[in-house]
Amino acid sequence: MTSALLQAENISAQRSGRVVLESCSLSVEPGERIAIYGPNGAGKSTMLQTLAGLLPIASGLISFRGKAVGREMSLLEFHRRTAAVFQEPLLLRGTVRHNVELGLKLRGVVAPERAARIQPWLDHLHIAHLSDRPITALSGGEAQRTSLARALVLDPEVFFLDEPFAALDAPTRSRLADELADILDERQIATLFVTHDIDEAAALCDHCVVLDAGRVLQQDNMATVLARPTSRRVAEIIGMSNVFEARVVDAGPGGTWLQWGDHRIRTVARARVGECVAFLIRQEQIRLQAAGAEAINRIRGRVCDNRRRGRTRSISVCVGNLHRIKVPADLSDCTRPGEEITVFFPADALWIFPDRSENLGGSPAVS
Amino acid sequence: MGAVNWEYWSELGSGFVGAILLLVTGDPETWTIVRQSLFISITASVASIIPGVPIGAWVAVSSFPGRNLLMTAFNTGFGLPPVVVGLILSILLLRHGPLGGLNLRFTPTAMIIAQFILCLPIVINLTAVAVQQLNPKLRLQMRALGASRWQLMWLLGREIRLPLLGAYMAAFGAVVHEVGASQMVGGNLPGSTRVLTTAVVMETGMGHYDRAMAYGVVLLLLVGVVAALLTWVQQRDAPR
Repeated sequence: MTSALLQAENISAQRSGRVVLESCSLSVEPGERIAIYGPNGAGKSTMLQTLAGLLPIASGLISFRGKAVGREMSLLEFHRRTAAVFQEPLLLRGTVRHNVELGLKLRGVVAPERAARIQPWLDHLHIAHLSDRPITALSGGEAQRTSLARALVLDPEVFFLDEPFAALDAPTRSRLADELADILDERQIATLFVTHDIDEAAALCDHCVVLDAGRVLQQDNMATVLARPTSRRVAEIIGMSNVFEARVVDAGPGGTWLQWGDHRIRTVARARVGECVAFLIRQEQIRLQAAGAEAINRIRGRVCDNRRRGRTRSISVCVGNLHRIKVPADLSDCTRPGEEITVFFPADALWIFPDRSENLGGSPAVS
Repeated sequence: MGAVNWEYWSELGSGFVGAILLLVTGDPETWTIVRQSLFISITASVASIIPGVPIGAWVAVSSFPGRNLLMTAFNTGFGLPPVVVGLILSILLLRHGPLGGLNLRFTPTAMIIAQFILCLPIVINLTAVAVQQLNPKLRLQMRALGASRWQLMWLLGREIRLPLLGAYMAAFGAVVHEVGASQMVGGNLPGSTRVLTTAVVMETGMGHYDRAMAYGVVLLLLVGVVAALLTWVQQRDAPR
């Protein structure tokens, strides 16, 4: 018997006859927070809505506390023990209070108890002063706070969040995300959180499901996904640059040696000699030095770009004719394009993707 | 321009004064006609809501082959000429017709049926439009909040109550001032099938302008009341 709160086994879903989710399995433990992450059109919302019992499954099984949803437990009962918040607040006409107590009304909770239960959430989400205001007079942030309060007041055993901050401006978004993280920490509510912002996913969740074209590519704890993506596609989806291909030329207790163009580089990751592999150089471990002698994992190149990206800079260093290594830098960095430079990275900055099923020999780099 | 025809204007003026008198003194004949008008049109329009709203909602949310054809049929029904409805119903209700055995010709029931047929496409169409205006995700959100099937229908219906009220008012407005079908299937029998519109036609033909104008004023008042009610409800709920 499993301890999982919510379990999905090989679920598939279709929309207009097209398969949009293929054989996904997932298990949510009590208090666990899982991000469903992927690019646009990956099937994230479909997966969430399917898990929430809002879309029919074409095949597979969803069980909640060991009971098959739709068979041993009615969908209505399942919905009444969970809650969902979407990208849009989806409020009904009327006041904030009317909306926040709606779920309780639907469950037949009497007025005095409703008032007592919603008050702490109105306070917690800082909307108590708006409680008698019509929803048409709310800002986007206030409306989404109302939507969150409406869901949280139901004490859900699983909380489904479908990009709840996507429509908000940056300051509101980060404030609300922090507040929600505090609430989820305090209440230990099992949460499934759909997002296409990997930083948001990392801030809020401890596990991550990477989804692409309706299939789960990787499912692990957040730190592992970020440090050791299983495939080149996962690396691409989570926004990692510096993915290249090389041939394994030597492997031993001292590490694995790769022949990368004219350079021989060392990694602690394991691979078989003769194998052609895709690998990643983790940006944050790369250092730039003034041009000097080449050595192990110390490669000379030329700066080909230095661009501002928000509050940092991104420097591109061209190595040979084919490869471009991206390195983050401080805003104050004044390296100029054309300058000769040495790129240095330690052996543990290199990660060889364990999933070798992808066709190698295509594009030389993912930029 | 010719000279002013004082006789014409004085007749018209006395007709108008007569109309006001008929209304304020509670003339039994006038009020019987008003009552029959309201009874027949309200019964027909309310009855059309019962199948009209569910059908409209169903057409709005479902997708099936031939849906557009069905919508076109309902749209055609929107402009259904009352005289055609009157004609078809009259033929069906003829003594030897398929529905002749019901003996409904020249009865208020026949008028209610005719007006019901005129109301139905209006209610279906405007309901479908109202339902299509709803955010489709609202349905998911309400289900996620734990709404049962009936609660879901109630909540969504409540969301579009204004357009639904508009649909009802449009249907009622369309039949209360309709004359062709009422005349043909009702026959303008005093105390039974004589309604405001058929009475106006008859009294004008007979030169009783005071009565014709009195009924005309009531018709205008009814339309005004409908418009005022709609405006009041819309403004009450409108965002400010």
